This record gives sequence, C-alpha cells and structure tokens, in this order.
Amino acid sequence: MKKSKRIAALLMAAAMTATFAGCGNGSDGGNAAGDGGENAEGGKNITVILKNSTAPFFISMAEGAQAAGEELGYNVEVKTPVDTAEGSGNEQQNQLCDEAIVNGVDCVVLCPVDTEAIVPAAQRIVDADIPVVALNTRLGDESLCETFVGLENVQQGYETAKALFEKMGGKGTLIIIEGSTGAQTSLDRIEGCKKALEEYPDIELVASQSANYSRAEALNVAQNLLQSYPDVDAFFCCNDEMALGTAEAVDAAGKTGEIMISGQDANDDAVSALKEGKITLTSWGDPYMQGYEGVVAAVDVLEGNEVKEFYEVSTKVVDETNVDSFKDE
Amino acid sequence: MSVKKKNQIDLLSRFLILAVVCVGFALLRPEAFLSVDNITQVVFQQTPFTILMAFGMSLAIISGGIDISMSSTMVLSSYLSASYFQQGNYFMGLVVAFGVGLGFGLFNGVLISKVKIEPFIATFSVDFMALGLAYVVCNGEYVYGFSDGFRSIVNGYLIPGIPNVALVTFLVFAVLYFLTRRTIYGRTLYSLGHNKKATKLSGMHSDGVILGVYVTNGLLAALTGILYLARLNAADPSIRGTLTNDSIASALIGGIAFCGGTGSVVNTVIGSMIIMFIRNGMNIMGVSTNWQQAVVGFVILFAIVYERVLNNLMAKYAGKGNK
Repeated sequence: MKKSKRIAALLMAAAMTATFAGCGNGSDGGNAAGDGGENAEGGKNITVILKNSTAPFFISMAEGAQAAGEELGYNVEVKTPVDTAEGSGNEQQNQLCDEAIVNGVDCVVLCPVDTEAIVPAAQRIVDADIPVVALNTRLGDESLCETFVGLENVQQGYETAKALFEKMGGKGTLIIIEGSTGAQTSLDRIEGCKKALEEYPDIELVASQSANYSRAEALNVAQNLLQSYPDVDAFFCCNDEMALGTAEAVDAAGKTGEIMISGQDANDDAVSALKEGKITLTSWGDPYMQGYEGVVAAVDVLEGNEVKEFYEVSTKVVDETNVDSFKDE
Repeated sequence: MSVKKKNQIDLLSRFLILAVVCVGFALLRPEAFLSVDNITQVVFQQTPFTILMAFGMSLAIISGGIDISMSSTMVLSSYLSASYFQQGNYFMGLVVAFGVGLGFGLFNGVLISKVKIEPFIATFSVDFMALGLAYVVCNGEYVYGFSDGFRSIVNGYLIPGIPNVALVTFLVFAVLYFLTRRTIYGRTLYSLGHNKKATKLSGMHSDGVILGVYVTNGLLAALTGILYLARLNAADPSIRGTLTNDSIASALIGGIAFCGGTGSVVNTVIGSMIIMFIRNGMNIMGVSTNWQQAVVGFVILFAIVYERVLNNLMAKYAGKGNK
C-alpha cells in the first residue's frame, strides 16, 4: 500500500514536469549555446559570460554574440549564472570562469555582475594564458583584459538625465530610483545623473532610494516616496523595470503626465509604456550590438588584428519623437 | 493562567509593537506618514500581497512545517496565466493559475505527507523547480499591459473606500480564520504543530491535514500572482523579490512560534503590517532601502526576545496568582 502511494507520487512528479516542459516549448531558450562541433576547430572557441539569462537586455546581448559568432565562423558559447540575486551571481560567474579554463576555450568575453568580485577569476583566466575581453561592465583591474566593449554607463546616465532635465525646463525637483546597491551599472548611472545635475542648478535632488532593479519594489518605493514628496516633478530610474514600477505608482496616484519618469535600456515594455505616455523617456544601450561587438573584439584579439582600446556602442535617448524608429536609425 | 488568555495577551502585545512603530514614524514625519492617503495606501494596497503569502507561511509553520516554494509558485502561475488574462479569457486564466497552484500544492503536500520528506527540503527544491520553469516559460519576454477591467480586481472598489484587493484579502482571512479556529481541521492542524506523533497515534487524519495546508498555500500563491498581474500591470519574475523572507518575517514578528502549534492568522496580519509600515516609514524618512533589511532583521529578533520576556512575566504572574 505504502509503496504504491510512493510510486503514485513519483508518477505525479513526472507528469507535472512533463506538463510544464510542454508549456516551455514556445520559447527557444535565450541562453541556448552553440552546441559546438560544427565550428569547433583549434583556436575558435569563445565563451561569453553574461550576468543572467532572464532579463530581456541580456538575452538580446546573447543573441548578438551568437550572431557574430556565426558570421565570423567562431564557436560562441554563452554562459550565465542561474541565480540572478546580485551576490550569488558573483559566485556563479567565478565558477563559470573556472569551467572555461578547464574547457580550454580560446577567449573569454566577460560581463561581470560586480566589477571587483570578478577580479580573482579574471586573474585565473589570464594565468591560464586565455585572453579576456570585458563587456558592458568594466573589470576592477583593467590590466587583466585586452579591451573593453560597451557603452559608458556614466555617459548613458548623463545623457538620459540631461534629456530629462531639458524636458523639465531646467527646473524642479527630482527623485533618483537606484538599482541594486553595489551594482556597478547603478553606481555609474547615478554618477552620470549627478554630473548632469551640476549643470542644472535649479533642479533639486530631494531623495534617492534603491528599488533593486525590480519593478515590484519600485512600485512600493515610489508610492511611499510620493507620500513624502507629492509635488515632485520627475523620477530618474536606473533601469526600465523600475521606471515601469514607478509609472504604476504615479498612475495609482492619478498623476500620469504630471510627473516625468525616465528609464534606461529601452526594453519592449518600456517602449509600450512610452507610447502610452506613462514614461517620458528612456535610453537605448543596444545590447544586441554590445554582444556582437564583444565577439568581434574577441576575434580581433585571437586573429592578431589591431585591437582598439575601447569598442564603443553608442547610447541613444528614446522619447516620443523617435520611439518607433530608434532601432533602425 | 489559561492558554487562551495567554494568547490574547500575546496578540495584544503585537498590536503594541505595531502601534509603537506607527507612533514613532508619526512623530518623526507627521505630515507625510499620518495622512489618510498614506495609511490607506499601505494597509489596502501594499500589505495585502505580503499578508496573503504570509497566511500560507503561517499555516505551514503552525502545522510544524514551512513553505519556501510559495513565491516561486506565484511567479510561475502568474506567468502561465498572464496571456489569458491579457486576452480577456478570464476563465482559462483562472483555470491555469489555480491549476498550477493546486498542482504544486499537491506536489508539496504529497512529498511531505506521503514521501515523508522534511517540509523545508521538499518546498526548497520545489521552489527551485517552479522558478526555473518560470524562467524557461518567460525567456525574457515579459507580459505587459492589461485591460482596465482586469486591473479593477485590484484597483476597483466594490465597497466604496476599500480597494478590491483588500476585500479579497479580508475574505481569505475570514475563511482561514474560521477554518483554523472553528473546525476539526484546524484543531488537527494545531495539534500537529504541538506534537506530530501524538496527533498521528490518536488517529486524526494528519496526512490529509498536511496535504490541505500545502494545497491551500499553492492556491494562495496563485491568487496573489493574479492580484500582482493587476497591480503591476505586468507579469514579471521580480515580484518574487523578498516575499519568502517577508512572509517568514511576518509570521515571526506577528508571534507565530517557529516550533509550531501556536498563533493565528490574526498574528500574521499584524506581523505583515509591522513590516510594511517599517518599509513605508523608512522610505518616507528618506532612509536608504538597505537599512530596511537590517531593521526588519532587528525587529524579528526583538519580537522573539520580547516573546520570551512576556512569557516569563506571565509565568511569574501566574505563579503568584496560585499562592
């Protein structure tokens, strides 16, 4: 009797797994790596380590990297931490680096969760005579990488903030919604925003709080801050997710259109929200091109071509005027 | 002193913590914190989500277990049902959402009551499964933008002044309160938390009760997921956030002992409110969000020490009374 119940339980587990596996069929796996084999000749394996495989931004980056691999005839494998929580991402990226060393890949393109935490792992890769290309986020010790590919987050923050301040007419009050504490992108974008603030003395920064890059958290944080500063003129959010959460908070307060909101990354939801007038502007870091250029840089390194010091991917501010066309320009 | 009286004193003392938190913030920033707008926003809009999840956690803890998997089940069920709700096919949306909740609840329940896996380990692994599947299904595509009709299940008002989400939470509260305090099911639940072996030996349907707890949790997770879709206007894995920790914290701060067998859903409500008011107050004061984490941790410890002191005091008082 007992045994049969156990078997029943196991069967149920299997059935459930099968059901959900079925549901996932529509998607073809954003971090599905090149399977190897086809292009796997000597000196042609590039491993790209990204921050996660769940955010649209990094999925797009992975696609760019793979497209470049196919075009240039290299075998590109994209690896990401499974756990996206900021701290555990560091640890898992370290493990992925060690895996790359063991597998004897020819070049590692590294997009670190944390600038400093990745340094020991990057050192180990370099010690194993494998060149490193930094992608999107710089390494704490830049001597470890051959080159850097990406956009300057400080610059992106600056340009986004400046566009927002222009729309505010150069005066008013501002709240910054920060990303995860310690995340380099967040620190850089805030730095860029503060740099822009210096040029606009009539804009007053009244509060700056973290919502951990999360839409749900930003909704609560923005709601709470609106109680303190009901007359605030604008929110500068360090990514689109938080801008979308803030937009719902502003909407719930019945102030859509009165309070300006800027995001960053220009993901699909933010573009829809921009069209609806719920957020004011965002900026596009072109993650696809970042991933693509990352592999291009790796190929330059491997083939002994001239390696640039900085492979810059340009930032574009997206507002209602170019929301339909910014990806084509 | 009777157990009932002791429980009442304990519950009152939790209200006291809540009152202290509120009075504290009210004194520091009266103009922003004390507004009707702010209080109703926290109680009626922000807290219900934590309360619903914490209800499940409390049931599990009272039965002597724990449920780590609820927040991931919530993410998965909201993901799978989101597109149905978006297309206006509410029936299929509800079927899928509650189906997923029910499925994972049953799965947990069977693992714990029949396969005899420790609740922590069972739900811990199911948590990974559910979240992993959610990421597979989502694949970075968030579902964004729902109709106003759908969103009114959270933002609308069937009763003037009370948003529907608060109404739903109250109904769930009423059902759970009745179930745990007024039925044989509830008695067995508490009895299990006190002494699992004795409960089983005395011939109560302990396996069925445990199964019921985790099924309820799955359904609560599905419900919270649907409400989140409406509140956030999107299906987004970040809703998981710190909900698991928050719901454990709510139960502990509310005075539900981790060893099981004590406390009620009223404790859960107070515990959740304490946490959400701390978050709200600290946002309003402009304190860095990181501090909230530390402060909530401190309050959990405080609540437990406070419980000890209170118990000792009551024991002393009871001793004197007997003389």
